[in-house]
Amino acid sequence: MVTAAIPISRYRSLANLLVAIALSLVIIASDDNSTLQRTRGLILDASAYLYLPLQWVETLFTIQKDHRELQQRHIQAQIDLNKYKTLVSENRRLRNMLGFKGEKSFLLIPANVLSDVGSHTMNSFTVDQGSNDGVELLAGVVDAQAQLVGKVVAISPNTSLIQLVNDKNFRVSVREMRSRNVGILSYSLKKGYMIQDVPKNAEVIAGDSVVTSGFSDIFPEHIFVGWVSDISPVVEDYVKSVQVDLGTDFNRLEEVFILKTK
Amino acid sequence: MIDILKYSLLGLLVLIFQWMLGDVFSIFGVTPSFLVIFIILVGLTRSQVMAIWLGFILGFIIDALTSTSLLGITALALSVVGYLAGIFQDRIVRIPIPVQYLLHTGFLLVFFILTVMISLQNSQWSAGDIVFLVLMPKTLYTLGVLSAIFVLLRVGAE
Repeated sequence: MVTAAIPISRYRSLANLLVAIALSLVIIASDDNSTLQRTRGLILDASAYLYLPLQWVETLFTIQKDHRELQQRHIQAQIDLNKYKTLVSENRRLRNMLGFKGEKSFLLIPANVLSDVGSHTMNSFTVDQGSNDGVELLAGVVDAQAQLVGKVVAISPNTSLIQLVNDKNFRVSVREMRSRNVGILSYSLKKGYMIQDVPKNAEVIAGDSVVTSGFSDIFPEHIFVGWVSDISPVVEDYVKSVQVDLGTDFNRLEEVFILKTK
Repeated sequence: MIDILKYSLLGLLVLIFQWMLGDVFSIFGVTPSFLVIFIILVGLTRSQVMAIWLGFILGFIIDALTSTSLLGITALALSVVGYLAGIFQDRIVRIPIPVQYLLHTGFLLVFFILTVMISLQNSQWSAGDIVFLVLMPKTLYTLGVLSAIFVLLRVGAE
């Protein structure tokens, strides 16, 4: 009796495994399915409640320091703003004279970071703004210094999951500011963040700024990405690689801004 | 039934711990997976079927919370690990310690090969980089944590 029961129990486990594998494959294959996305949204919303008490306590400790910092930054920003306003109006006038089309403008949705999940392969975090607040899938995300943070990859009514720039599957079209060359920024394990296939004669030096090119619908142009840190030597080739240090400090992110096209 | 509820609750706590505090244990960007350790533990000491389904559900939840590429891949990997661990249920104590470690390494490799290799398929990284800079460090780190937990549990039981 006992010997007969062992194989049956083994087949029962195998049958369970096959059902679980089949379900997993269905989930993998139907990533865009609305029911699946709704379920994901529910899980993301539920998880946000876990972070609320932590966030409240954290806010109590940091609010005064944040306020002082913000005041200083506000004054500095006000001075810069006055300078830029003059430049913007001049630029707009000149663009109109040359017949350029108007640039896309964006609204900013402020959001608190609820969780962050960093691993060697994926980097993402949840924020407390979702579709009810106007967040859209694939919307770009920046930090308080308007530096690139990532994009929205999943949304629920009250929360969103942000894929960070330092996620290994993240790609973004960028422009190097000195040479004005455009390339795709990606991550490689040995060299870090790289812009590949930059023309050999492009004048790029360490310290140059790298910004988004605006060639995608996700990110507008001129969002700061980082600085050039190194240029790979060119050996009998027509192109070179440019190494980039990201500007955003992901360990200190507490709030971000989600871009929304006007 | 009580056992199922108890381990489901425990699994949720491990999941929350992994999700909220996993990064605290990060060394040079390598984070151990506490979830896979939990599933191996359930498979080896409780029931194979329970390990499969807990692996599936917890894997799906962690995917929903964190995955930026393939939703469902962790569910698949944890179910498979649950099944494999369950094969040795109650027999693991009769296996020599070095072979036990080899088995644990095998379970972890199955999990990380499924999750890491597939999640990095579009990353343009070379297979060597993925194996030596991600897969092996993650496996060894998680094996270290797993060994420590198993020793603690054994001492606690004695």
